[in-house]
Amino acid sequence: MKVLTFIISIIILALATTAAYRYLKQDWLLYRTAEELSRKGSWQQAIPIADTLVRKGFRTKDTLRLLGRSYEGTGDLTMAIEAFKKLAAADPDDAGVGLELAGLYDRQGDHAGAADIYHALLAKEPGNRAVALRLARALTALGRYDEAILRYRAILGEKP
Amino acid sequence: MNRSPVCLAAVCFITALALLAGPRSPFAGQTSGRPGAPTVAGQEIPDWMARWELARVLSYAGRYEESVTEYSKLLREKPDLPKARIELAKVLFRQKKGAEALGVLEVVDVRQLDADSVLLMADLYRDRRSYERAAVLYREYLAKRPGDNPARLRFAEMLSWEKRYDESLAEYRKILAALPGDAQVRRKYAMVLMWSKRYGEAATELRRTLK
Repeated sequence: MKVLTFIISIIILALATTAAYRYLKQDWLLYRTAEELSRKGSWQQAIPIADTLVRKGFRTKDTLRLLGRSYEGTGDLTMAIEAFKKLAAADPDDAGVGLELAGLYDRQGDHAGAADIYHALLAKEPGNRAVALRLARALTALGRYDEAILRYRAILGEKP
Repeated sequence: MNRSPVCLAAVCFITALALLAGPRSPFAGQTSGRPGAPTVAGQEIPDWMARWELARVLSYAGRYEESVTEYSKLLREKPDLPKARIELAKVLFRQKKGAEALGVLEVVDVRQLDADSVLLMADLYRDRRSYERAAVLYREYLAKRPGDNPARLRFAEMLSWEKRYDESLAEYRKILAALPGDAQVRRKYAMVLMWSKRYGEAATELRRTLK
């Protein structure tokens, strides 16, 4: 009798735990759903969920990144840039976010916007060759060859 | 005997707490990105790659001499870069150094040349009167880009200089099929007809250019 009572208690506890989790952690579940959809490439389905979560202020930085990448996945670079701009504003010290945002600008053809970010990143970390190379490429795309050449020479450690 | 239900209950309680704490997101605490995404930490830029890009930008800026210097340094370090060799040849060609450009291109396996490079090489051979080699390359190029009438015209002219009139006339006809109103091409066609002693046809073609 005791064993039966115990088993029933365990089952009730498990069900109650699951129900409580679903009730208390709805946003988490939504986040995980959006994340899973994004990972599978179902970006269009992930976007409204991530967008709702951003509006609710749930895990804003992670959710903004998820939203930005989902837009990027659909090819909507304008919206991806908007999401990454908000992310950069929320975390201005995250150089990775800046680099990703600049990459989106480059892909959109806004090399001037990208160059501004690369300049800012290099001001913080002058010896970063990866950023310097991206800046040189952006300057080349802008037709600012002489500036690009100076950047390339600096990357190679040569005098201009 | 009474302890085991208590222990099991404790285990269940801990499990419930763990579940309520929520799963850890793969993005949590992450500063930058998915695999392959640019990272500020990733600074592994080989010098040869930067030099290659520098050589290109120098050529865009019209600084050919410096561009050639950078391409030469690059190819000393990485001799097995046919694309860089082709680019160097194009820069040399822009510098009007046809012989040097040809020398650079001749090292490259023809199968690795893109269509523009094949045409460049054909033109360079033509300029150096290596007509046989040029003809092979023109044919290869025109098979890929049959609509390039200026290239076909150069080929047709070259064939006529070699007295390969029938082949030349065949190329002219292809050009005229695409550009029937081009009087200059038709006159050149008429000239080749005359050289091949087909005076009647030549006269007809010349009359058409006067209408």
